[in-house]
Amino acid sequence: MTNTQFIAILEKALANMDKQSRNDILMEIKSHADESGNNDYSLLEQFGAPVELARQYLDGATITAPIVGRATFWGKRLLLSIGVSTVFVITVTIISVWYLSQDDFNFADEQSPQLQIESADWSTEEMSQSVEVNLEQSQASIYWHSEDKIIWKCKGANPKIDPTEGKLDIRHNHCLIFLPIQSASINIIQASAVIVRPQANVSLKMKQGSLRIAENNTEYRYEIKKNRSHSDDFQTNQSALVLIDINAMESTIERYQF
Amino acid sequence: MIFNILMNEDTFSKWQSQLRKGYLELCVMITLNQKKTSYGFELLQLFQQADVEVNEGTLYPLLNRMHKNGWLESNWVTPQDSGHPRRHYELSKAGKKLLPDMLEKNQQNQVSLKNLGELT
Repeated sequence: MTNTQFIAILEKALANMDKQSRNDILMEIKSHADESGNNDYSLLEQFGAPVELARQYLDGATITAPIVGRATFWGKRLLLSIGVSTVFVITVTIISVWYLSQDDFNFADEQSPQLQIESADWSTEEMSQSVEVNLEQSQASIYWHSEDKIIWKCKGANPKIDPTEGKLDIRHNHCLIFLPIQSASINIIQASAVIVRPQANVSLKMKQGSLRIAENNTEYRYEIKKNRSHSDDFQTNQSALVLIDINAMESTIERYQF
Repeated sequence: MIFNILMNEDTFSKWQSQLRKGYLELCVMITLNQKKTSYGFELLQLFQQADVEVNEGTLYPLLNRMHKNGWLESNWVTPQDSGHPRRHYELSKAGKKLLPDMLEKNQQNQVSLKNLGELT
């Protein structure tokens, strides 16, 4: 084994050591070889096997350390990649959920262009009596207007309406609804609803639903019955003209915030 | 029988290497305290002259370990006459502080061994 080969094997065997210490050791051994003459084969004779010498330097560490070192290096890179990917996926998921859960517009803004009912997208049904709206696995924003009509616009299939019963059934849909100023009964079953400034008494029955109320500076009488439900603290005014009567089971009732 | 001999040789060799480690460290410390600074090749020659048994494969890792322990400091010196850069060692502050204690401990050990040998 030549001195060059000896140094190369020693260097490889010390791969797990920090670079500065390894370089010092290798330079020192080369210096010793230069000092002790020009015999190109002298190192093996003087120091014995380079792997054994490395073991002496590593002082108890195993000679397979370089392989462990490489594994650790790739392991660290793999862990780093997994970590970065996980953070990326979580961030994208949070942004997506936030974006998808955002309201299409500020539902509390009654002057919003999205609520202009001149366009052909809206459906109308004459309705002068009290109304029952059944929301099931749907999302709806409900407004009141002065006409004796129920007007609605949905993203999905047209909801089922029964004018004689005054019933509007919405399933698996996403709707904007204007109700006449008549008492209304709204059933929210595994659905999400926003009611904006109700102008007539409204009775809400909720089951595993979510209700957000936009008061828009109007005072109401509230009667809220909760069963395993959470509700914001709504200010009730006993002399208010309009009653909001809520019977909630496993549901949430909150102030509307855009 | 052969197994026992081999085992005895093996254990004796282990005992010897354990004993030599501390002894050689002390040798290095004493030499560097005397010479102020030296390098591996020179230390080997000095030890040879003083009949201290040590080979290259033992001395260089030992110097490296003592340096890592903080007992020695090292720096690279390239002499003008020869072109080889040499790693010079000298006692560090900690090493200088430690040496008297090491010598005293060694002295105590010698006395203890002598006392044990004189037990009746």
